[in-house]
Amino acid sequence: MEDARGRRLFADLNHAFRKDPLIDEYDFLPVTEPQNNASPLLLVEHKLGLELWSVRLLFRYAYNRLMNWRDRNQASVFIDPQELIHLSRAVLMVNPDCYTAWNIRKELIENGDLPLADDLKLGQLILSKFPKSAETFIHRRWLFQRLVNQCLSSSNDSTASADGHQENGGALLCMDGIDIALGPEANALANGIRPEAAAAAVALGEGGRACAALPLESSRLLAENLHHELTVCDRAADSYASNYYAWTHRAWVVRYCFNCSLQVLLGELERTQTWTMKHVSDHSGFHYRQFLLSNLTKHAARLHRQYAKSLSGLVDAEHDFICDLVQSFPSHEALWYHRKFVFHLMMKSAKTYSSEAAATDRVINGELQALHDAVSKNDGQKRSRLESHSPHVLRQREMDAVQKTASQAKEPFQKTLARKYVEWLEKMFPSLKET
Amino acid sequence: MGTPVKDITLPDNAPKTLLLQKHADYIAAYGNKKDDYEYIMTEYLRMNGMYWGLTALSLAGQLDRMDKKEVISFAKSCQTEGGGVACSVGHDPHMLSTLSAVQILTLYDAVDNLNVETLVSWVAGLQQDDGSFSGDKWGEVDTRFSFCAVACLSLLGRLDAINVDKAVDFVLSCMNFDGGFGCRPGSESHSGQIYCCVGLLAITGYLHKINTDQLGWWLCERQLPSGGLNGRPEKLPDVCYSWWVLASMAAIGRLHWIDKDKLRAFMLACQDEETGGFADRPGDMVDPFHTLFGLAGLSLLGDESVQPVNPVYCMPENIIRRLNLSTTDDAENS
Repeated sequence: MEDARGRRLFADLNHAFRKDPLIDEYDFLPVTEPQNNASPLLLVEHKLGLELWSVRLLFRYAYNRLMNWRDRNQASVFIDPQELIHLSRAVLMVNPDCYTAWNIRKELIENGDLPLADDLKLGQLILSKFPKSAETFIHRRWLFQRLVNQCLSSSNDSTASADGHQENGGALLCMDGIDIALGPEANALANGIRPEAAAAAVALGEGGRACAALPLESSRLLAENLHHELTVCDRAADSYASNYYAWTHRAWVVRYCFNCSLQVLLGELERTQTWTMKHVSDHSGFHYRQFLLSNLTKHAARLHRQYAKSLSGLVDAEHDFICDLVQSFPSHEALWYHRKFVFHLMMKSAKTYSSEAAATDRVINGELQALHDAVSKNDGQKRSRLESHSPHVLRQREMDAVQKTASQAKEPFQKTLARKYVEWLEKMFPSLKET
Repeated sequence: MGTPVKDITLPDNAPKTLLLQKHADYIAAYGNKKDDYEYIMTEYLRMNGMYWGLTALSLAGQLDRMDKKEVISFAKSCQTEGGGVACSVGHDPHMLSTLSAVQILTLYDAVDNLNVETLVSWVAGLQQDDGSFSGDKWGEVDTRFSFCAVACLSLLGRLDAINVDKAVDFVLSCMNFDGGFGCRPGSESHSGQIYCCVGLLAITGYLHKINTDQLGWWLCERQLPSGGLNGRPEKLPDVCYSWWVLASMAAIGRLHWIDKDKLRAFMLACQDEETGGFADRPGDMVDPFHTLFGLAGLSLLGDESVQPVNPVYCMPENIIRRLNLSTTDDAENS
């Protein structure tokens, strides 16, 4: 009896997806008892509602049937791939952390029974209801990794030469907003240690040749979905505060699929500025900016060459940004933690500069002096900027500013946080007068 | 004005003493009273759930209330041909359920019921070139899986099966400027991940690689005015995070940096006087997961009615001693 109702509900769900393949959100409606003859599935403008009482029956039916098929100890039940796709969808819409159901779908994709793009859509749909489902994000990483690897394997097949990269660099693959180093740097990456990074570099950088071979489809899918994936992360971050899974996934996409391209790092820095301003309690959002800044620090020279941006300029801007937020939104621990990171970064680059200068000083004292003289003669402003960025000056200025906050803040917790910051400063950067 | 600290207030009528027997009764009865919907909804966590429940009972000194034979035969039936253990019969093998199965059988001194050789090679086969571990054959990498692999193999006395130095290097590459650790290099510090990374370094004898003061500082800042600990900045306090933070602090020798009395009061307030069991926060629904971490936390805080717990393995200390496992740095490694 129950089984028959479950089967019926399962058919209704499949029918809803046939009727509207663009369903983009769903939720369970708080209806605990069946209402006369009305269907428990409600479909309005691509939004699907399932009455709560029906969810149990649907899940029980789909789960038991799917797992009985999966259980290799039982006499084998034959279920055709299409039904497996539908059963696993029903299971995951109710319980997205049932990892075995995702694995069944991975196998269906590997066997060519399920288009990869369909699963990107299903995952996105499930995140609308379960924005912090770990297994859903894990599955998405697998999908993207597969796409990237397909692009890589095709380029291997076509025996692309090192020169080929440069020749074909600008061709075909439309990846607006992605800069991937071509030539020597791309080669270094492609021959490098991380297969994922190499794959991404090849897939994106050497588009012409990669696309000419077999998985045109993979390259197209990757191009279509990579930027969209950042939006998927945005939505998940909006729906659940400090969403660890959404933000670590986003960093993964930037790192493994975009290969930490400078343009993407800079674009993301700009894009998340407004978001973090509106979510001052969300430490995960701020940590993502720390991830972006840390990666930008590795490419100071290229940043200057290709984008005419200085690293210290970016870090200073971030310091201004966070100091403003700390003042405007008192008593937020997340903001003070971000300030710690930014200040730590400022000190790191200041120390690097001064220790490099000191080392050079010993070796070519005269030349350096001449250089300094020239700098002060030709560009007094620049020189005073260098001085104002000495670790000692930076630390003193930060200390004064925070002590002022500690004494003037009206909110007791803001005072506490400011005092803790002072303690941290004293402990982390104890005596800098000698440097 | 200003924003209030994200925290809770302990209700005046919240429990103030440990209701140990009620918790043992709650766990012992847990398997019987579930309806089939809840049972299948949580099946993907079955093996972990059994570890939580059985360890909680061990800490209460009442492991003999469970049917040992049945437990062993269940764990055995979940081992797959390749060696890995699944969360339940018919599911796929995973690192998380494999560690739980080894922990459960270690409680019973019965790991021989598993095919240890295939299990060890399955775990070792998941180590990647960079020293990290994936959770199963599909390739997801996470420092949690590094901990699972190392904890599992050390319980079996088979750490020789993997490249320990590389495993350590990968975990260290996940260390952040605040001294904490995330799931992958560059990921946000998170108490649960810190517990795993500190645990791995404790088992392998590399605790000295940690910046103890910096990490200890970040960890003790998880304590909120209610006494409870959260897992990350501006999150609510929670019994499970209280355990992960507390256990990490114990492992790095900084337990004295938190206010133990206040934490104890918070944990006690999370008990349900009627049903037994612990919830994440006072007044919420109890479950075996929070019940284990509540009991383990109180044990670490020195409650003598609970068996001493090992902070790294989250298992009774006497069992870890029986296996001669050390979770503090030895002189040879420093």
